[in-house]
Amino acid sequence: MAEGSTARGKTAEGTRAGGGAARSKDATRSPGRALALIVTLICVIGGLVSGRPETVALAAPFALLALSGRISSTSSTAADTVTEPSIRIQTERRLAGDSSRLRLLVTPRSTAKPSASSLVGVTLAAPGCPADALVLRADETCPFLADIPVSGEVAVLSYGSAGFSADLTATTDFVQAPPVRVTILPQLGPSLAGPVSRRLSGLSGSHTSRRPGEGGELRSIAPMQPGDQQRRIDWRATARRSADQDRLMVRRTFADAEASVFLIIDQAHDLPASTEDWFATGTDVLGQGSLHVARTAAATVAASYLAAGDRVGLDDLSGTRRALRTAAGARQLEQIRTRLAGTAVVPRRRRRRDPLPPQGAVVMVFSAFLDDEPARLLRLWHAQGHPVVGVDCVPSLERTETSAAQASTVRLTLLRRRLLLEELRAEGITVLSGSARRAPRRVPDGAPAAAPDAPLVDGALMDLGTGLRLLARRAGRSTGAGRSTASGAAPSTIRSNR
Amino acid sequence: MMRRSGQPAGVRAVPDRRGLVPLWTLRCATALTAVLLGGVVWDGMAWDGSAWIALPLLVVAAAAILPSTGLVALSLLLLVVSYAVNMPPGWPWLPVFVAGLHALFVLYLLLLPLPRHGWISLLALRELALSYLRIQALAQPIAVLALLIDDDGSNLAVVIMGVAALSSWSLWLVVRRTR
Repeated sequence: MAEGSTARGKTAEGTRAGGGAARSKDATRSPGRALALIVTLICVIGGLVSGRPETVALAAPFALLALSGRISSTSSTAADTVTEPSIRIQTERRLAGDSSRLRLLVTPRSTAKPSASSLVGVTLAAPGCPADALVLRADETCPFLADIPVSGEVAVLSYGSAGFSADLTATTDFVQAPPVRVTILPQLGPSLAGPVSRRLSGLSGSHTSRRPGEGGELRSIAPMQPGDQQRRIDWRATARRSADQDRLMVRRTFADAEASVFLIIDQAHDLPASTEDWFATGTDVLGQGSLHVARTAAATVAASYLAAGDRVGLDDLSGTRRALRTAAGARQLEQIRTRLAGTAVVPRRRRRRDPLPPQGAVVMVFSAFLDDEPARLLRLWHAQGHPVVGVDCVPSLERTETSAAQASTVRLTLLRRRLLLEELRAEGITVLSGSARRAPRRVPDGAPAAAPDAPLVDGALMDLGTGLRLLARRAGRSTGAGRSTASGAAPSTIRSNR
Repeated sequence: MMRRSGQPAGVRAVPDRRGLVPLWTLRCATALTAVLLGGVVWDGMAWDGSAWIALPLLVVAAAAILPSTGLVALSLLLLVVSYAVNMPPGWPWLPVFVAGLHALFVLYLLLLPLPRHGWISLLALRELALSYLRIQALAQPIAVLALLIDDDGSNLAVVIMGVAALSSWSLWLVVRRTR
């Protein structure tokens, strides 16, 4: 089994197998037997009428086939009902060097009762493809290669089987099996430096909070008070400040604390990279759309913060599942990756209340920004004092529209997105690009205006790693001044966790 | 890469082993067998330059590609009736025609429920061939017997000998199988 991929069947699909069992009374009725009978009768009657034994002799193999089918049908009893396919498909492993393909193995089901059917016809269908057939001997195995998505949870292969005898006169009913589902966890990118809030509320961690307490950063040197630990005594300061040695001086520090980060995934849309696919009816579930970009970016951000001992939580805008509360540790990372892998396109539902980030948490919204909802929430949380970052998850687009109407639609959509992102930027909300696209170019003076789908200038759509590093550095600079001046401007409320 | 219209959105799952024959090979073989058998039985008809002679050939060939029980039945009946009408009595290739017709029936029946694209393993083909030969072991003596009866007409001794030989042959096959 490949790392990060699992295969399991959905129980809901299993009910269809039960439907097949309901029709199993007719399982041994084959068109072959009926056809053989018809041809036999025609030959015999024709031969008798014309008085030619040769014509009757033509019926011999058909008569034998009909007889064989009759014997098979009478020997099969009600106990031979078919409730499950005679084969099953197991996931074997991911191909080395080609991580987009998974090796599956068609094997006979060991629990299946030995029956008269010596051949098995398997019907396989990959998503978005017409069905293929595979005829095997009942005890034969056959490995298969199937394409898997880059991330997410997808049914990579639907299949069912029907058994038939070697003379093809006896068949069992076609039984559909639960599809082979694989869950591909999003890949983790290189570790990122991320901003953290100034209002840290944790009690342990690698960041320095503004509260007095146990930590590494010096806050003040003061006379020892009841409750001060002896190991906090600063002997040099004592010798320097207490000339007659009548009082002891202790070092007071800022408390260390962990940061909280709240990741919000917008799974209302999955925008494919090829603009032609925006208008396709059958979506390419294996492609790299905006949801894949969101999964990968969110997993990378979560891994980076968790590696520094911070707490990370996860929620989605569609309100499909309960939010994953902020927590730290490797187990939390696995939970986040699993939850991210399970995200699929779900239309937004009306929610009673907006997602509620923990106090002092950095909020990151991963969205394609096709409508106002993510922008509204970013503004809301920004106004509440949370450091907010929007991550634009639209992948690098390939303009493959096939008609003028499609081209107009794409241009309008991208124009609306651009306006939305520019508004956010004007309000001081940083939006970064989650996909690895080309670095934004500055528009020189006198140059023509950028196209609606061109990247925004001034780093508004710089990539995630660079953008977060820049935010962290800017926040780190302003934090030193902020401690003395306590200024609360949006960019100065964030500082590095590295 | 840009996807052309009509091209499937996904990528097919493909087998990763040897010993598999594409179903298209089998469909072509079926169509060829059907056309050959049709060519034999319709060769006796007077060729007057009419294109209608190609119609039954098209029907029997199409039955190998289109999944239709009616088309398969029509093709088989066309061949059988044409044989009865066109072939002269005592035609020596009767056993071959019987074998061909049986093979065509088996191939039609195999392809009928299957999707157009796919594969069949050589072991499955071997299993089908063994079953085919088992039935032909009975059908061929019957065809030879029918030829003998047709040649010797009212010769009672030949008929009785033939029937006795066939019965014992069938009995031996049945007893062998039940063991």
